[in-house]
Amino acid sequence: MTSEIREFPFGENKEAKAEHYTDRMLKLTEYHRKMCDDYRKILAAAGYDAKKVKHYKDIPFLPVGIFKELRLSSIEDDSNIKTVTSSGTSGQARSQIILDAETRVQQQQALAAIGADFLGKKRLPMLVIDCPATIEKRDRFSARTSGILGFSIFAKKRVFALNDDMSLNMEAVEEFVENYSDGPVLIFGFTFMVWRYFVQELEKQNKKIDLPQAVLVHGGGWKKLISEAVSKQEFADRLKKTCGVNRVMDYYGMAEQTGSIFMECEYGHLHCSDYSAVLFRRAKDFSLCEKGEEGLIQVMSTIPKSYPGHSLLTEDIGRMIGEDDCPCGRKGVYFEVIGRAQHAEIRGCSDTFAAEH
Amino acid sequence: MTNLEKYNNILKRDLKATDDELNDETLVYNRYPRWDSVTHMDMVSDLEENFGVEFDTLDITGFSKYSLGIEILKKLGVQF
Repeated sequence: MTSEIREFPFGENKEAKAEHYTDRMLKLTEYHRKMCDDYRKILAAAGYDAKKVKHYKDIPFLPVGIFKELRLSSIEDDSNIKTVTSSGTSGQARSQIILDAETRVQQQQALAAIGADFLGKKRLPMLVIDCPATIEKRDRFSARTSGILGFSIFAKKRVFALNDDMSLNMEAVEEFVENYSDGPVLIFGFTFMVWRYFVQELEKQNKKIDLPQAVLVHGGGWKKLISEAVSKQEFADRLKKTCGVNRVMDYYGMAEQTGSIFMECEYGHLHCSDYSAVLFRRAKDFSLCEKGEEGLIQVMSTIPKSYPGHSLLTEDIGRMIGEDDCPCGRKGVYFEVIGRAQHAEIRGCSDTFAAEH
Repeated sequence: MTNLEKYNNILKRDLKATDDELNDETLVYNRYPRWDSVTHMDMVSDLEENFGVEFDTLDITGFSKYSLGIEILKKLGVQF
């Protein structure tokens, strides 16, 4: 059940995908049903019947919140696992995601193929908007750690822009600029960190740097920035002003399904790769949305083998913009993320889930 | 020193591996205890520096066990 890693992971149109993706999802569901007791119980309670699955849309999903309640694992041998924990807002339980060696390797290969398609195969000097301490703990790590480690495969030389107390390490940043500003570079960080500890800090210190060939790749969501009323445009404009950055690339992904990464093309669309599927569901009854209609985002991935995370309903709201016809040339669904579901909706969703299962 | 010796020495040093462990059953990325993603990147840097080559992103993830490092270096023009 290994996924073949291709150089261009955006080649499948709707028909090609439906054909084999359904089969792979069925197999993966069966595998987890065999391997994970809790998952088997959930499927049984939900009345799951593999014979009724005609399309991958019919594969059951787990709400992402379930990883906060249950430690779901589909592996027998616990000796070489890593646990990723979700960032979880304060006071909330954190998700625990169990990853074995095989799943980790698959995730990284998928990330490499997807990332290389957007950033090029050549590795670049990378300025990480985070502190070195974030990657020090290696057995249990946060989504931030796994993001930085994951994206490090695109880095030729990695420089951290922040000190361990989150203050800006201006010396390191200036040295990076001096060494690499005449060529393409990557800047990587979580959206909020880039804004608060980099852009705003440079402004506060009245400093400007010039990285005209930089691509800034950021993810982790706009939630905190929206509450500060920072729009996407404002974010890009201020980055341009403080750092001379001309290309800002958002990505969408989550700790609960790290192999799924959706990157933003030059037309501002997030793209679903051949490894993933993305669906949008109405919160009131989980029926599928029409194209363009806002709904809860469901993500699927052929990669998770060590835990039953191959089909998840997120707490994020988004909408499908189109399929197979983005001007950038990539096939598959392209979409946008609008924000987080209101608490009531999430609550509603887990209530329904609890009632159903 | 042959290129194979050079290659073996880098892996032994970075992974703290012994001569007996230099095989595909033992030296597997993410399975061999000390071969995690951080050590992986250090090792890639050392190989690049010592052999004067550059791994691209897909080479990095392709280098997932002992012999595959040699395959990638060969592809990049290093004689073994």
